[in-house]
Amino acid sequence: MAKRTLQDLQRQYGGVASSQKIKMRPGGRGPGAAGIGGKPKNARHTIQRLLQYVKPYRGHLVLVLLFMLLSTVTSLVGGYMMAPIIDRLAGRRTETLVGRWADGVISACRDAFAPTLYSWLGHQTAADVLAYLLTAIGIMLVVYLVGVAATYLQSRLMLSVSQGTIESIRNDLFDKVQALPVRFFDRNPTGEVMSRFTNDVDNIGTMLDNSMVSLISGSVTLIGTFIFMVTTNWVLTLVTVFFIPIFSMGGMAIAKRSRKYYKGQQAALGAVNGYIEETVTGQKVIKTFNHEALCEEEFGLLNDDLRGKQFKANFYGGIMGPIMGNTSQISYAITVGVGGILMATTGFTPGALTVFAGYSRQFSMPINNLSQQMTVVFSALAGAERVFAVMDAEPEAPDRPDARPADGMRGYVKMQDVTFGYDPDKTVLHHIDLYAKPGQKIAFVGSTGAGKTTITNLLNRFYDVEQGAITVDDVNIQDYRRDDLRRNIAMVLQDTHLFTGTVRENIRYGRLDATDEEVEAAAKTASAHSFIMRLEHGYDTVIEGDGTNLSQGQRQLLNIARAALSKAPILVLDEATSSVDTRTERHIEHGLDRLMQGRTTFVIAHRLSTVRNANAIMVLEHGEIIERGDHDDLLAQKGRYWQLYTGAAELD
Amino acid sequence: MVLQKNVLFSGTIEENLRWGDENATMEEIRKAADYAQADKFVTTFTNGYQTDLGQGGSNVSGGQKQRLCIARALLKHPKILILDDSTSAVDTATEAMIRKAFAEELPGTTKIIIAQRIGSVRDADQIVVMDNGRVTGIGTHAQLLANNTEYQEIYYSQTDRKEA
Repeated sequence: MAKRTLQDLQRQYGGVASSQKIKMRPGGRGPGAAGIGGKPKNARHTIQRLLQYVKPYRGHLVLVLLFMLLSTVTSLVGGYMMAPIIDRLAGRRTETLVGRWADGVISACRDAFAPTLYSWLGHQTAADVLAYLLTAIGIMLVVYLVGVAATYLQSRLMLSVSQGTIESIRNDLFDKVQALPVRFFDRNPTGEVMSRFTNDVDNIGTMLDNSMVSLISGSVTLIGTFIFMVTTNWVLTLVTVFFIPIFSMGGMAIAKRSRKYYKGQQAALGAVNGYIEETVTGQKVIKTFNHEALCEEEFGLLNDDLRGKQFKANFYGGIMGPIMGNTSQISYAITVGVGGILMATTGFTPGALTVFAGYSRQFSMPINNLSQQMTVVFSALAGAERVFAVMDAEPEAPDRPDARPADGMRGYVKMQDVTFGYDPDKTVLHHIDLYAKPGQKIAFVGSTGAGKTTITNLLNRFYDVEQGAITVDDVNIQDYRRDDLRRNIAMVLQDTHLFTGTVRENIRYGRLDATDEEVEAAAKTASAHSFIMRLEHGYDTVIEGDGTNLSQGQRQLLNIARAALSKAPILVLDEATSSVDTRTERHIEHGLDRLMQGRTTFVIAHRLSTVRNANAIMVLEHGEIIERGDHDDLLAQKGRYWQLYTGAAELD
Repeated sequence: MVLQKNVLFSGTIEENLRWGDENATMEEIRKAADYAQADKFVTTFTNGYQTDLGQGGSNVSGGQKQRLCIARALLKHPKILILDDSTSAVDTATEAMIRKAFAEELPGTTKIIIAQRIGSVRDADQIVVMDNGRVTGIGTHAQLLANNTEYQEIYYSQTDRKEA
């Protein structure tokens, strides 16, 4: 293959970026990072639903709000204490509203503690000022301590609110996912569903315990600072306010650019990841075709592209802070300059100027912070919306009120004129008619996509038929309780699925109330007993990570044992032996044969050798039964089955 | 070498086949695909050889993937061709056609075939039976069937039971 251009590579691997969610580090660098989650479509509705989850914590929230106010006010007031202190030292009196009030409080306290203070300081000339200073520092200390305590309590309370909220959201979501029909998982890939639990719920949590607090306390600080500034000096306030739009516009311009580059960076990162993933999986192929050098070159192209975009993204993300900082220095200088003039011309005191300068500096901070937090809130709301969308998805239809239990089911299965499609406009099965008497073995043969597995999906009520009917013991399966019906159908699928736990626990999955003896009996039926006894800890051997410590054949034997344990009269074997070699299959078949005894069995198989002793074989093609009969009948017909059997036709 | 785990890469079918020979002409590509019984299905795609395979070749079926991998290997014009379980998802009839093409069109290429299906190897000049890392028998199909129990066991497990 000739070397591809960067454009080709981006096109072919770029799709990866959108399908494969790249998890951002929380608080990823730069303002653009928070925008990944997208915008909520109906914010109002989502907020209302979120509030439902927060509702149990109303009491907490009121306290949080109070503590938040307290901590904001203490920080503002504590700062203002500086004004009278400095002015006293300069031998003046602060003339501003809050200044006079603060001065009054300090003086009153000093007078209250006068005897103690003066006994320490003696009656020197500086004693008056020193006493004032000590009192002021003492008061500041108290104010700030109160502030610290309030902040501590507020964040603790808020954490319990947010964690409690997302716990119940996660619970509801998980419960909902369990109740969802198989159809839902066809449409939503596993990764997507997982991401609801991880990314989206996490975002909601972050928003609750971080952004909400920041937003509210930021607004309170903003308003408080503004009030304090106006009462200190309205002329200077005007000067400060004048600069704000200039800041925010500059900031937004940079943020916009960096967001653009962050997006590009994400796409480039996705392409690089996709390329690495593919080449690592395809390592052997690359080596056999001597493609190492070409891959290196192509990777170089993608990597270089990533470098460029990453540079720009980080550059714009990184200069944001310094530029904003420097601009605010300019406004600071101008404010102080104007303040100096005011000081010279009016009664404006140095203490008031100091305090004001501090306020003017912190005034722009909440504004920047607020806009950053808003993006977090938006992405959290978008996440919440996706979470709620899952919660609103249609669950499995509830059982009919008169649904009946399925005790003593014999397993007489009939399908009458069943027509079905996963999509209403794409029919998969056409007019399927068949029956299986208790204990009979029915086999399905046909190409991939012919509808074999669909039949068993319908039997299990993973999907409900809309046309035609399926009956078991002459009762429509939709009239049984769904749980009861499924209890009466045992399945052995091609994909063995084992859970982390002991061998015994895994077999017991077939019927939870089975005794140890029953488990072992089932294992014997499945021809699994002998290999289990050879395992290091026998039945107590722990199976890890979907049974990677067992061979494919052994895993399948455990699955069969699981099915053997259940007393279900109906058994479905869906390609149960396809993924093992023919010799292992022979071994498994002994177990299967014993398992099938006395059970109505539906077998789906690719290998025709596994179906030849069935009572009836259905040859499916494009959702229709084109031939039926037992092995010898079908061979005699010299039709499709004969073709398949003799290898004259293609089975893909 | 064609491996059991076939890996195709993002890109078009043509680009993937060109892994075998960068400078192959379109005729050469189609010929290789034809030997591998891939040309027929590729030409049914709307974009033919320009069809995008998607990551890991997710747009084609397992059997089709295997046939494309064989075509890719053929384009390399190798002196030795190793097929490691490379037709496991291809049905027996198509597999037979691939084998026939190999025999007729690539007589000078040494072919090493690794397979589970007896059908895939029964025409081989020499069959090596292995079990647990040991060679338990070497010979032609007829020879092994006559005197190798392992081979018999495998053979009968794949053919009619009446013979077992």
